[in-house]
Formats: sequence, structure tokens, C-alpha cells
Amino acid sequence: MGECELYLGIDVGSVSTNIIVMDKNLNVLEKNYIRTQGRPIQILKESLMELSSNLPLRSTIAGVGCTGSGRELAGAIVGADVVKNEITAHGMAAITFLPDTSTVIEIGGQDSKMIIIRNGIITDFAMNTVCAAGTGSFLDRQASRLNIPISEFGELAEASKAPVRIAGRCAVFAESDMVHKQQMGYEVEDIVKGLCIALVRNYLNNVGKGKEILPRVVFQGGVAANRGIKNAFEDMLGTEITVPEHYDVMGALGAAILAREETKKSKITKFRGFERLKDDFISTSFECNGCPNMCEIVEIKIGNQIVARWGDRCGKWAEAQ
Amino acid sequence: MRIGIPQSLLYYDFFPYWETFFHGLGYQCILSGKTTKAVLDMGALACVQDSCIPVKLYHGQVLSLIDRCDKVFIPRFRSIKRREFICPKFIGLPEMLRGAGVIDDEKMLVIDVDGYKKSSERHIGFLKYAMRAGKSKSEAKKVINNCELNQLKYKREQLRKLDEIANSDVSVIGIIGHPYIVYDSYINMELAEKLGREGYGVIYPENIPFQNIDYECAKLPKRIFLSYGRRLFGSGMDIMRNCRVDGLIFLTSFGCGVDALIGELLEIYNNRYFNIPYTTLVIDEHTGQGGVKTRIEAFLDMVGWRRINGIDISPHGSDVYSGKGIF
Repeated sequence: MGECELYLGIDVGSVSTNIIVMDKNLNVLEKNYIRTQGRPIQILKESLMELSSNLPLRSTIAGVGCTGSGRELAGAIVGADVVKNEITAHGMAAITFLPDTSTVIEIGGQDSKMIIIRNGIITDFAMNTVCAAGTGSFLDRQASRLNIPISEFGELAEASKAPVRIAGRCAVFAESDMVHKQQMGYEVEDIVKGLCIALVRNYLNNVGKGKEILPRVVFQGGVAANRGIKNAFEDMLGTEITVPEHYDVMGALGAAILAREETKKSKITKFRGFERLKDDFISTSFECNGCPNMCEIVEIKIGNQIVARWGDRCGKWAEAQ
Repeated sequence: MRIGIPQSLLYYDFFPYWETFFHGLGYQCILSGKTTKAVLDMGALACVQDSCIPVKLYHGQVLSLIDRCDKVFIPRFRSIKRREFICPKFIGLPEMLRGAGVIDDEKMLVIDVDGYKKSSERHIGFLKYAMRAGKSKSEAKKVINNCELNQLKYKREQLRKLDEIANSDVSVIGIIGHPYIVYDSYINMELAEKLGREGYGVIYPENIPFQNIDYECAKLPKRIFLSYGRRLFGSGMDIMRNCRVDGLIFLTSFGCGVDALIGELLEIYNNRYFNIPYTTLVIDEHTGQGGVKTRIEAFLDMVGWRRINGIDISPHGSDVYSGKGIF
């Protein structure tokens, strides 16, 4: 019996780090969703070590893909075959798992995106611009302010009979509006549902502005677990919303799929191996004094070996490795 | 006399004119130098909070020039063409700088540019200034003539780039935005260089002939009366229609009123008629390149996939996708 070839997908986001392991037939064997907690390197190492002990015997990692805002960092640490932006990764995963997808709604920790797909390729996309209203971290904050676990948010919203209208244009305004509505004695579930509707309205007005939203609409990202938001999308778009099985790790899955394609061509993976992850990774930063731009350069080292540098505008440091 | 010229805002459009003018008067031109973080920080601190980033940058450049020259040239642009206006922030620029305490009246060299009634009247301010500086009327007229000639030469060079690109094999992406954003590689985070590294050439609104811009604008049900709004819309439409670009990037600074309308219009028309990859990049004061990088990468992936799939651009907005999938 030959060795089982596995693919690793890593999505280092602002709020959570997701790691998945899949085989070459897209079966997800391992799935790990953890909070980044501002220590991406530590978290990544720990969860990869944990994951390696759960892998089937006689298996090898045949390819690694990284995505998310921390993709370069993660890529440098593990030795990635592909380092791709979140939009491509999410689009890729949706197309692979649900080939008839036309629209992808992705709401993550700190940004939200819409990806338009026609006949199996990405033809348009949008990301939120300057405001994070309507993203996961905002919902988190409101849930803890109302003293409800975020996991119950959706259920609570479903219990509402008469949602309250909340101003959703700006996170700060939404919050003060919610406080005001609470003081006036509205039911919590009505406020929660109102918030869900406000966020969806804000998303469709900002990110979805001018986009042709056709079914099938796929909803992925951590916020897709929230039934209140899903229902609000369904009401407002008048179409059914599909939440895929692995909605919370679609970015990581996309990265793994892209890694599979990449290693098909390159035949060999750049993965460093789990053993080498035990090495100490030192990340330092310094200010370059080469010109008045004073870029902040980040340097990642394993022992004495520099594995990656970035942060410079001119490429002087990134290229000199 | 040494005249300081901030390298921002309309510098990118009219520098040949200004340089010829001051040289014609026997003055020396001192440029502020390229944008750097230090200059931008200085400007952001001095300027009112809710202004757009190019105006903040201008404040910084004026500050960086003050000790290096006798006077700083701050043109008051009201209109560069008949029945067209310039963004209000240009009209009030000298007052804004004075109000922010950046520069005193004595240190400012203000020349009004107003061709609203008649395009040719936009030279009057310069003519008057030349005469005040001791030139006779005929001498002053000669200086202005030279200014115009050099400006035309500059424009012709910009137009020639279009031919160069049309005759080369590189894939081209159109970058639509105000000159002070698209040509300032610090502010736009080296967009053109980033595209260049991926093998793409770029074209800008300034590479498109005025008559093509006017032609596209004339098709609109209402006349755009802002000169730069016209330029961005008209060139964007012309590029999408005639230049066989692989994609269009609308580059705008946060809070720009003109762009809010024009970007929307271009996107609507693209969806209706051209269907080429289109994206909007909004820039502001942040120095983190992550957001811009992600968007550019995703945009280029999209452009690349659509090309691999042999998708031609449909002139009538009909569906032309081959449906072969990505790989």
C-alpha cells in the first residue's frame, strides 16, 4: 500500500488561525480553528505540532498552501508551496466544493468580501473598504456586551417576532443605537435580530454595491455559523443561502487545493516538515534608515538563518535574503 | 528669486508650464522632492483632519519647502476650461494653508487660474504677474507663449505613450485616478511598479486624447462640469472601449467627492457594456501595505484566469465565458 498524500491548508486571519488537512480527493481529515490572539507564530507552531500527532500513519504532506492576512509569515515558517490572497483561496474552495456557485459571501473576523463567480471562474470581487462594521469581531463585541455567548446569537435572533431597527452604517453608531434601544426597554432578541438585519443591510450596501447577486449564493467564514445573519441574508436577497459543510475553514481549504495544483506541476513540496517546526523562530523588526520613508522591516530567522524579510517599500531587504 | 514648487496636486499636470514661466522671469525653481513618510506625517499633522490625503501631503510639501526658497508657488485653480470647474479644495488652497498656519501671506506666491468664461483667460493671472515682475506686455506674452508650447509638448509626449503601448505585446491595465495619486508612487504604494513586476504595462487618463474624453462625456445624459471628473470618466470609458486592456483599476483617495460619482458611473457602464475585470482601490494614510497588496493580488489572479480561459472582451456585454473552469 502506498503512502497517503495529504495537503495542508493554513489560513492566518486577524482573529482566527485555521488549519486543515485534506487528502487528494478533498476529504477533510483534520480541522483546527483557533484564535490568533496576536501571537501568530506561537499559535501556528503549537497547533501544527498537535495536528501532526493526529495524522494517519504512513502519510506524507505533499503540499502546503497559506492564505489570510498572515499568509507570508505562515508561508515562511512552514515552507509553503503557494501563498495566496484570501479572495482567490475562498473563491477556489467554493468553486471546487459547489461548482454551481455564482456568489460567495464571506464574512471573517475583520473584513468581509463578496466574490462573483461565473461559469467556474472569479469575474469580480469586492472587499470592505475602511469600515469594519458588520464583521465578526464587531458581532463578538456586541455579543459580549449583551452578555450572550456568540454561539447563541443566532438562536436568539430566530426567536424575535418584531426586530428593532438598528443603524448599521457604522460600528460606533450601531453600538450607541443598541444601547439606546436597550434603555428604552426593547427585548434582547429583537435587538439582536435588528443588529443582524442592520449588518446584512450594511454589507449589501457597501460590499455588494452594484454587484449582480445570482444564486447559488454560498455563505462562508466564521460568521456563517450565525443563523440570524444567514436568515437575514435570505430574507433580503429572496434566495436560499448555502452554508457549506466546512464554512469556517474555506480559506484554508482553498489554499490546500491551490497547493495541490501547484505541486502537481512542481512535483515536490517546499514543506519543511513537522520536525523542523520545533526550531526556534525569531521574529525581529527594525527601522530601515536608507531613506526618509523609514520602513519597518520584519525579519524571520531560524537559528542564524534568515528565512524571510518584508515590510520595505523598495524591496531592498525583501530581495536580499 | 527662488520659487518653491510642491510636488503634489496639479504639479503633475502643469509643471512644464510653471517651470517655463518662472524661468522666463529669470527665477529659479526649487522642487519639494518626492513624497516621503516624513513629509506626509508633517502635512497630516498640520492639515484639517477630514481632508483627503493629497491635500494633507501638499501641506507637508509646503512646510518642507519654506526654508529652502524665497516664495512658495501656490496656484489658485478655479477653472482650466470654459464652463468647467476644478475641485473646490484647489480654489481654497491658499486660504487653507494660511488657516492651518502652514505659511504666511508674504511667503506665498498666489496666481489665479480662471478660464471659466473663456478657456484662454486662464493665462491672465500669469500675464499680470509677469508684468508686475517688470516685464513689458509683449515680453510677458512671449513668456506665456513659451509656457503653452512646452505644455503642449508635454501633452504630446503623454499621448505618444499610448501608441507605444498599443504597438507592444505587453498586457495592459488601465489605472484611472487623479494625476496626483496615480503618479505619486509613495501615495499609491507603487501600484504601477507592482503591476510591472507581474508583467503588466499601464495606461493613465493623461495618455488619452482630449477629443476621445469629450466624445465619451458627451454621451452622458448630463454634462460633467468638473474637469478632472470628465477626464477620469471619459478616459476610463475610452480605455475600456478602445484600448484592449486586461483590466481597469480605479484608484481613489478616501473622501474624494468627485471620485465617488465617477467610480460608480464607470463601474455601472463596465457592467453594462464591457465586462472587463474592474476594481476600486481606496488609499488613505495607512502605511500597512497588506490591504492594497491583497486586493492587487486578487485582481491580477482574476485577470490571469480570465485570460487563460481565452475570454475575449465582449463589446455588447453578452456572455463570452468559455466555462472551462480555472485550470
